[in-house]
Amino acid sequence: MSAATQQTVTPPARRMPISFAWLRGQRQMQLGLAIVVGVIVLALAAPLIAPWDPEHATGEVLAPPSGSHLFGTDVSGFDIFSRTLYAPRVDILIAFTSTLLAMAAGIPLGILAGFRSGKVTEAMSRGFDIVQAFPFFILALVLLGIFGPSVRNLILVVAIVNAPIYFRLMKSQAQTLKGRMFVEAARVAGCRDRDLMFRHILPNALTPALAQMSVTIAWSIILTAGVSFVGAGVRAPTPEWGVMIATGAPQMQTGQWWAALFPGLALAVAVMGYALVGNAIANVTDPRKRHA
Amino acid sequence: MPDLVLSIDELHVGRDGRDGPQELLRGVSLEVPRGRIVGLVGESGVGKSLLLAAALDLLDAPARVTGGGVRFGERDLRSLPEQELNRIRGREMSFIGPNPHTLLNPLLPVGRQVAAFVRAHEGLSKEAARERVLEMFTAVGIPDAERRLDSYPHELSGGMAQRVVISVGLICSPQLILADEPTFGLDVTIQAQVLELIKRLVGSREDRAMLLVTRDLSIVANYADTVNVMDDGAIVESAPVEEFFRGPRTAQGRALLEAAQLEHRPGAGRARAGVAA
Amino acid sequence: MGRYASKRIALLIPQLLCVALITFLLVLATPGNPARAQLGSQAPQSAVDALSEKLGLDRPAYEQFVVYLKNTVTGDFGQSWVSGNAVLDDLVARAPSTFELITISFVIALALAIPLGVMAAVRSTGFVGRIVDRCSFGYGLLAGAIPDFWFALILIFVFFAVLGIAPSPIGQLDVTVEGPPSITGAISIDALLTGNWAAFWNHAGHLVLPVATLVFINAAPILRMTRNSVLENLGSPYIRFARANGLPKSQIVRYALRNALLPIVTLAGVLYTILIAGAVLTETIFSWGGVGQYAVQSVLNADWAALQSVVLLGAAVSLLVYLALDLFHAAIDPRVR
Repeated sequence: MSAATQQTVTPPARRMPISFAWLRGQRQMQLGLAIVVGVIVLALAAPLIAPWDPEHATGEVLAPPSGSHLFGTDVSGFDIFSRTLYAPRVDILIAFTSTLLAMAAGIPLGILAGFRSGKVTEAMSRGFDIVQAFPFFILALVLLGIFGPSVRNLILVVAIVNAPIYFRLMKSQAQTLKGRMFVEAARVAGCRDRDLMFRHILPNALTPALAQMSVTIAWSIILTAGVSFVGAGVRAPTPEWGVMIATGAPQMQTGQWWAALFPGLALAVAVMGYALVGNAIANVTDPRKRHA
Repeated sequence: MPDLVLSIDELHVGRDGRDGPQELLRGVSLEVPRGRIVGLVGESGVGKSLLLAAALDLLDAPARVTGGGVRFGERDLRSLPEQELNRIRGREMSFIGPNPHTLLNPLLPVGRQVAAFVRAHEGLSKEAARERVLEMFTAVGIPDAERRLDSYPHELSGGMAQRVVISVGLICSPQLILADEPTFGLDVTIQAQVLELIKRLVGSREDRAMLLVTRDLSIVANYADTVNVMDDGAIVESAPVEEFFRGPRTAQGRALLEAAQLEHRPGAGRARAGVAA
Repeated sequence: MGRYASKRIALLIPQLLCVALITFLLVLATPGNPARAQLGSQAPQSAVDALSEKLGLDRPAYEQFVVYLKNTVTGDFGQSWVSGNAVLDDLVARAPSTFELITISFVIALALAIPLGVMAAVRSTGFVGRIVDRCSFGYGLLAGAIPDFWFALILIFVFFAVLGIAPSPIGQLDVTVEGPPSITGAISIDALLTGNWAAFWNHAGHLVLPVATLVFINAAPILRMTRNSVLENLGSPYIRFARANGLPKSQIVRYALRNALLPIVTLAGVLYTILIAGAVLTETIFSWGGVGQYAVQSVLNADWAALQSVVLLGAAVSLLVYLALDLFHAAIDPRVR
């Protein structure tokens, strides 16, 4: 039975309506954060921890996991454990940078489009729609094919694929928020459009974008791995999870499971970590959830 | 017909909160006699809506009844199986609430929705149900009722949507209507119309009773027979309307009266519903 | 509804034009002479010159675009220098296989995920409910984190290398089995049409692992979305109002489901386009011989004509799917019209 207390006129809290103690209490967040931090730490500390040089062939080819080769070696003789430790460097670099780029492009344009509706913003929306019409993987492949598979291009391509999501999110946020009382009040008080958009609406609209950010990072890691798997992204001998899985793929048929298993496992764990964090943030900042 | 349509006796509702068990309703007792409109007022959050939910046995988990009873006429609602209860709901004890657009299924025409209720309760055919709904729509004052049967909720104004909601509450001629802020969110003039409608269809009939929950004291003043003041999960004051408005006995009652800034003089006759503060 | 439908369908033309434009711009962006790019480095200069003229490479960009449009509309997608065939022929030969793979996976994923999602929503309280909740959450998380190509490899390892019950993960049929004549291009349909049971069952065996991969990964978001959407509807005011007035439970669930359907269908549509992407990787692993594998090969071989056409085709299919989604949305939700 709904109590008759609905519409509020007061502006939504500028600060996030959560306390960090409460956040830390969330198991999801804890686990996710632990994984995320762990992966970053391992990536940074790889030179110190890895027992072997990730790009230098050891004597043994396709050796099963053992004491000296925790994850075994691959078909070229590289130690898989070491490569698995070094791999996140590339993936996380690409994922983080491209996500930030996608947000930097999508968010301001989205707010603009949601706030002001006119020919230009219509065109923008259509433009992003068209970008989203291309199946993202094929689009990524094509762009990498044309411009060449470098890390820089990977970052740009992943950013391009992700930007429409933030554009759409912020556009709908801006559309919802611009009708709210606190914006009206600021407008009546004489605020310029630019200030209305970026000092009033943006901070309040940002929360779903932040929840989305972690998810985008997770997804970008998979996209990078996928593109590299087919050979259009990061190339061997650079250690990268997708590349490693590709190298180990033929052996899955012949029964040497370790070459492709471990990189995939590591990838899945890392992605899960980011997804958990994103999920936890989304749960906490969802205005519909009631907090005791 | 029983004299007391609804009788709530020392009802306790609680739940296990984050910091241990919490009591939401602390021994609420309330009676709704036949042919009367009983008002229930109080600030937001004191438990008015919760009480209605408990009466219908539709509390949201984790809240649950921890003591006391609810009797509908002769029947002890708490001892009835769910199937029985569902037969009582809507047919003998109905519910109407605020924000009518949220109470209607946005995807179906309103005629069909209201018909669903009368068909479920009385087993009518599609055509017979449609006739009944048409009668009901006319009775509640929906203009151009025949055409409105096929309208979607978003095509209706607030006042019309509320009339549709009231139709649901009345179509099976229940003995008791639980009304939770039935005029909230409506324009002032529409509020008055809806309240007059309620008075006409319920207040002047001996075979119907209503428990009217509201924060708006002026509504109670003009349309209810009794006032119950609720605070913090319990009824703190209960009196006939004239007596209450002559002078509330509790601090909460006085606070509510002052907040309403009423100029109503007790016993001076029914004024139209004024603007709530 | 009719008015909305015609307006929305009319929108398709400019959308397709924009897509064609962007694809065309991609062509312009390819390094070197596009004609040379199409014909490959081995082709004689005379052929390159002839193609250059045909494509109008010496003319200004917008004229080239018109030429491009004309060619596309008449079905001239250029030639794949790798296969030597017209790209259109290559696509026609391969598209049905991809379509078969995607559609079968899509249908199975929906058939599993939606009922499970509804069940998860209806049983979401109590002890059993919490277990169901955890499981569906865990599955969603897992399936979202596991790369589909890796999962395919795991399946191959377990069911082929270790257990030996799956057929060799190469292609759509064993080499020893004779395939049916190509009527629609999809082996399952063609085998059925010609009564070739040996081919049909063998093909089905080859379908199991790739479909299992795609279903496992893609059923998860639908399950979660169904569960969340149904749950949200079950808790909404109009449902509570219906319950308060005694509407029987079966009708309540039907109400909730009907309303819950909207975001589910939207997601399903989006998922179909995602399946197109997922198919690319799966086809590569299983050497399926469909458009996805063709796309990858085109990228690696710098087969620009083929690549460009695949992109165009993919985008066109997506646009059609989104159109279908919008129409469905309008059919169900009167507020859209």
